[in-house]
Amino acid sequence: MNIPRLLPALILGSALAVSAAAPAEKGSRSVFGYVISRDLRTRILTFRTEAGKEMKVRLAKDLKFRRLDNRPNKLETLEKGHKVRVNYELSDGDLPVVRNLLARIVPGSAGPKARSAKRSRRGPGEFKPRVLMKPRRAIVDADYLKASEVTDQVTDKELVLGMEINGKARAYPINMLTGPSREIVNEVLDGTPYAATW
Amino acid sequence: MYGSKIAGRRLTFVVSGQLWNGSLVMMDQETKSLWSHILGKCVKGDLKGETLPVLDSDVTTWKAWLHEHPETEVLNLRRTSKNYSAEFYQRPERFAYGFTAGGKNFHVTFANLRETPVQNVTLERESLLLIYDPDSTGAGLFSRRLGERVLTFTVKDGLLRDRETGSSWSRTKGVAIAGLLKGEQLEHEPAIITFTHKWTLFHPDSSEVKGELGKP
Repeated sequence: MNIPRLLPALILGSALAVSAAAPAEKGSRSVFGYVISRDLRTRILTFRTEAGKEMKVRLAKDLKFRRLDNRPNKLETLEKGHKVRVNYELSDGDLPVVRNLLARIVPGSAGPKARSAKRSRRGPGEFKPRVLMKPRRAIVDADYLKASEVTDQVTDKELVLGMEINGKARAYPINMLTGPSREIVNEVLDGTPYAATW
Repeated sequence: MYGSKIAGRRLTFVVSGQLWNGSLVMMDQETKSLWSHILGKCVKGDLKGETLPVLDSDVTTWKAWLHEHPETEVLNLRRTSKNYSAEFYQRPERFAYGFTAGGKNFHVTFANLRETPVQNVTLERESLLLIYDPDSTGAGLFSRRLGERVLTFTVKDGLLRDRETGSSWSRTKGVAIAGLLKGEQLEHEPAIITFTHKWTLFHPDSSEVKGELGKP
């Protein structure tokens, strides 16, 4: 589920899909959204992300604004429904601060509100997968360490997927389960076969 | 975490190389059937319609897991990522804890769990406890029914306690550690962690559970 920057399509992964998986470098993130409103006095921009979530950000005084069409790069030209890429930083203040805003103008777009709500109601639809690569090899008979043998293979703060069957416990560091060559580890513990995946 | 025995037959799962709505599709080697990872359900092939049992599992920090399971074994493969640490949930509204109760789907966001880490809920007549441990970022779903009793949980002096007997409980394991009910174990219910938008896409009927701040 990792590797988003190199192979965006593959990152997908687990129950989690991909693109959101990689936390951006500290402080700075980028998200696509559709403008709901903008207030040039308070410099607050409200938009809906592609995931359908409403988000408010504060536009920095030294904001770099760019439109991907021939009209002037002026904030006044930004309207409801315009698709924007927002680069923002979390701040100590009340709202994330935006220093870089890129607008792709989609004439007449109502934004994704209606769309995403509709899509949510609709469900996943017919099974029409995208084929990206050949099936991978199964992971079976993987190697395990006893807890007492661990040195730096896994560290305190790393997340693990843990399972326990009849007092026997196994941990799967998520950092070992990402990417198309991993994702699923076939195992048996105390007579119970399972697929370790998340 | 899925059980991999279906109708008496053990299946071996691989990454199929296909995605459905941006979500992993698994394939079993034995029948080459395709399975939706998020639904745990076979969507194409001989086993179409079969559902994999969700096994009880936790996602938590290695430190917390080791503390609760000192005898644990741990997978030993080269890391393929470095992203998954306790800081993973930087935007907690994007992540959901999804589960079923009485045959219906429910989810709670990690943002809401953070705000209200102890939630006594009754869904489809099932009395459940949703719990979140900020130190380990682990979430848990337990039944609040213990024999004839239905317990109500609250945090007092930093300890998880039930109102009915005042016993104190482990936040992560659902075990009573002191008081009248010492040694009792709440039943752990299966749930999965996923992106909120994926969960609601695949489960359009899912109801969001939202604990109220200050009202455990």
